[in-house]
Amino acid sequence: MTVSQNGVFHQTYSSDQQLRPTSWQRYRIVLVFILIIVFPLLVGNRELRIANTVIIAAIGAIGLNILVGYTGQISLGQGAFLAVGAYSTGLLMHQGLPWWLAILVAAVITALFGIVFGIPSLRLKGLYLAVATLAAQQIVGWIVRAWDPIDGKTDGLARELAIPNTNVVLGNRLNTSEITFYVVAMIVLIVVTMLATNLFRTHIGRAFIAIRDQDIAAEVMGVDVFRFKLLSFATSSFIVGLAGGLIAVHSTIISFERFTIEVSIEYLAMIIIGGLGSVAGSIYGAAFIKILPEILREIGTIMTEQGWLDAAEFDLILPYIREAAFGLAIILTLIIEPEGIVKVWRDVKSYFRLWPFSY
Amino acid sequence: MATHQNSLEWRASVREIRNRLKVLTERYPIIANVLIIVLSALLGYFIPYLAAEPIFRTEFNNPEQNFILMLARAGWYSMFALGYALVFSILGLLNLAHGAVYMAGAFAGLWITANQDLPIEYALPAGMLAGGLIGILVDWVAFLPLRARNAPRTSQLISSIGASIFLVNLAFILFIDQFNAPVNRFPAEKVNSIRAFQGTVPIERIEVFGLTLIDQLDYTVFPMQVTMFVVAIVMLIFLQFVIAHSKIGKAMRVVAYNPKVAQLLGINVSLIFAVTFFLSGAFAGAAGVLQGMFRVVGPFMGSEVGLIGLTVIVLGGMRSIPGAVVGSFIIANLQIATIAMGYSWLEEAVVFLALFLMLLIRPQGILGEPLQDRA
Repeated sequence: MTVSQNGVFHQTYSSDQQLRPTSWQRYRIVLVFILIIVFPLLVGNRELRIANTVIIAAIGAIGLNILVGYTGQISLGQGAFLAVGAYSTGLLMHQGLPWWLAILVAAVITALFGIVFGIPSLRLKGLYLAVATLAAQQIVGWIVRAWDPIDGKTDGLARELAIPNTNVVLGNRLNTSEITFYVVAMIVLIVVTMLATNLFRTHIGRAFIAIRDQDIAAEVMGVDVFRFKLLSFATSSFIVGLAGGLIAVHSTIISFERFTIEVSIEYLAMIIIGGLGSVAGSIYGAAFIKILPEILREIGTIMTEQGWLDAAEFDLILPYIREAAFGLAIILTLIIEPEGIVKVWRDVKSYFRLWPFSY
Repeated sequence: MATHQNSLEWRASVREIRNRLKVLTERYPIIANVLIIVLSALLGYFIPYLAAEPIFRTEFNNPEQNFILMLARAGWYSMFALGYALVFSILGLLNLAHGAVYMAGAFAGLWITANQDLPIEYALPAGMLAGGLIGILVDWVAFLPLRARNAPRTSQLISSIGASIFLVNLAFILFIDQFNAPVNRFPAEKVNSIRAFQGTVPIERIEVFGLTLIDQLDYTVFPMQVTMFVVAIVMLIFLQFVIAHSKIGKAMRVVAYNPKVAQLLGINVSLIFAVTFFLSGAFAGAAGVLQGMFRVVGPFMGSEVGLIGLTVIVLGGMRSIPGAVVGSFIIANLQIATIAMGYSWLEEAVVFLALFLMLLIRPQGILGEPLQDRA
C-alpha cells in the first residue's frame, strides 16, 4: 500500500506526466479534501480563526517560495508586498469595488510593484539583494506608517485604514463570520496551490529553477534571465498580493504593525522550516509557524495550572517566549535540517516504504 | 572614436590614481584615516549649515549645534558599523545579530553598575567584554555549523536574524526579571559622578594656544557626545593599526583573502574568526554602553541602529573599514540636515532611500572594490 513511486512503470506519455501517478496518491488527495470539508464542522470558532491565519500565511508563503525557493532571489521585503496588497484592497473597496474584484486588482498592483522592486535583482544577488529588499521593506513600511491614504496627510503619525463593510458573502461579513472566510480563503489556497504546482511543469517554471541553480548557465542555454527574474518577481508578488487582500478583508482595520520587517522574517522562516523550493513545504511551514504560539500557550497554561509559573507573569512574557522560540526554530532548522519539514516527511515515507521488511 | 580613446585614457588615469591612493592608505593607515575623518567632518559642516540657516534658526537649531550633533551621531554610527564591516571583510557575511550584541553590551554595562553596584568606569570594559563574548557565542551557534557545511551566505544571514530575534527576546525576559521594567536608564548619580559625563557645557568661544578662533557662540555640548566621538576615533585608529601592523592583523588579512590558503600557511583560522567576532562584538558593546548612558537601555535598542549600520556599510563599501566611517558621516549628515530643515519625521526614510539608491547606482559603495557578487 505504497504512496510513493516505486514499481510504477509508465507506458504512455500522459501517465508519465501525471502529477500523482499512483492510485494511492490520488486517494490521499481525496482524503485531504474530505479533511478540508469536515474540519470546520468539528472545531470551534477559535480553532477556525487560527486555521484562517494559517491559510493566509500559506498563500503568502507559496508566493514567497516561488521567488526565494524556486528562483533563488532572496527577499526580505515580504511585509512590504503584503502591505501593498492589503492597502490597495482597502482603498479600492473605499472606491466602491466589490471585495473580490478589489483583491484581484490589488494583486495586479502588487505584481507591478514587485516588478519595480525586482529591478535591483538584475544588478544584485545574494547578500546585496537581501539588503536591497530590506530597504524596499523599510521604505514601504515607513510610507504606510506616515501617509494617510484617505485624506492624504503626511504628518508622521501612525495611521490605520478602516475596511468598509462591503466584504459580504451571502449576507455574512468576512471579518466576523470565520466559516465564510474559511471557505473563501480555502478556495483561493487550492487554486494557488494548483497554479504553483503546475507552474513548475511549464517552461517558465523550469526557467526559474535554471536561474536558481546557475544563472550564467541558464543564460547560456537561452533563458532570458532579465525577463524571467522579473516574471518571477511578478508571479510571486501577485500571489502575495492575494494574501494581503485576504488579510484586508479578514480585518476591521489594518495598520502598519502587521506588515513590519518581523513579518518578512516570519514568512522567510516559514519557507525555510517548511522546505525551500516546495509548494507543500510552504503550507507545512506556515502551519508550523502559526500553530507554534498556540502550542506554547497550551504548555504555559498547563504549567500555570500545575503552579510552576505565575499566571500574570506568564501572560507578560508569553509573546517574548514565542518570539524567542521562533528565532531558535530558524537556527535549528538551518543547522539540523536545512531542507525543512518536507525532507523529514520524505524520510518518514521512505522509511515506511518497505516497512516492516526494510533491509 | 576619438572620444572613446579619451575616455579609455581617462579611465586608466583614474585607476592609477586610485591604486596609488590605495598603496598610500595601506602604508600610512593612521594618517589616511585622520584625513578621511577631517575631510568628512569638514564636508559635514556645510550641509547642516546650509540646512539650518534659512528656515528656523533657534537656540537649539543653529549650524554649530547641528555640527556637534552630527559628529556625535557619526561617532556612534561608526563605532557600531566598524564591527559590521570587520566581520564582512574577514568572513564575507552580514551579521544581522550585531544589533542584538550592541544591546547585550549595554545590558551588561547597566547590570554591572546598577545591580552589582560597581562604579561607572567599569561599565565600558564590562560592556565590551560581554559584547565580545556574545559575539563569539553568536558565531559558534549561528555561523559555525553552517560554515562547516559550506552553506550559502544567505542562509547564514537568515541564521543570524534568528540569533538576533532569540537574543532580543531573551533579553526582554531577563530584563523583566532583573529590573522590573523593559526599558531602563543608567543610574544618574553615577553617570554624573565622573567629570566627562557631567551635564552640558555651554561653549562660548574656542581658543587654540591663546588665540581666539571663534567668538560669541551660543551652543551647548553634552560631554557624552564628545566622549562618543573620541572613543569612536580611538577605536577606529586602533583597529586600523591592528590590521595593518600586528601579526594577528596580517593573519586576518590572509584569512580574508582566502581561508584555505591561510590554513595551509599554518594560521589558526578558527582562532582568527573568533578574534574577529570578539573585536566586532566589543565595538558593538562599547557603542551600546555609551549610547545607553546617553539615552536608555532596552531590549529593542539595537534594531534601529542595526538597520542604520547596515546602510552605513553599504554606503561606505562593505569590505572597507574606512568606508564605514565615511558612510557614518554621510548618514549622520543626511539625518541632521533633514531634522534641521524641520522634517524630523523623515529621519528614517532618508536613510533607507539612500540605501536603495546606492544599491541601484553603485552597489560596491563609495570606497568599495568592484563587486564579484553581481547578477
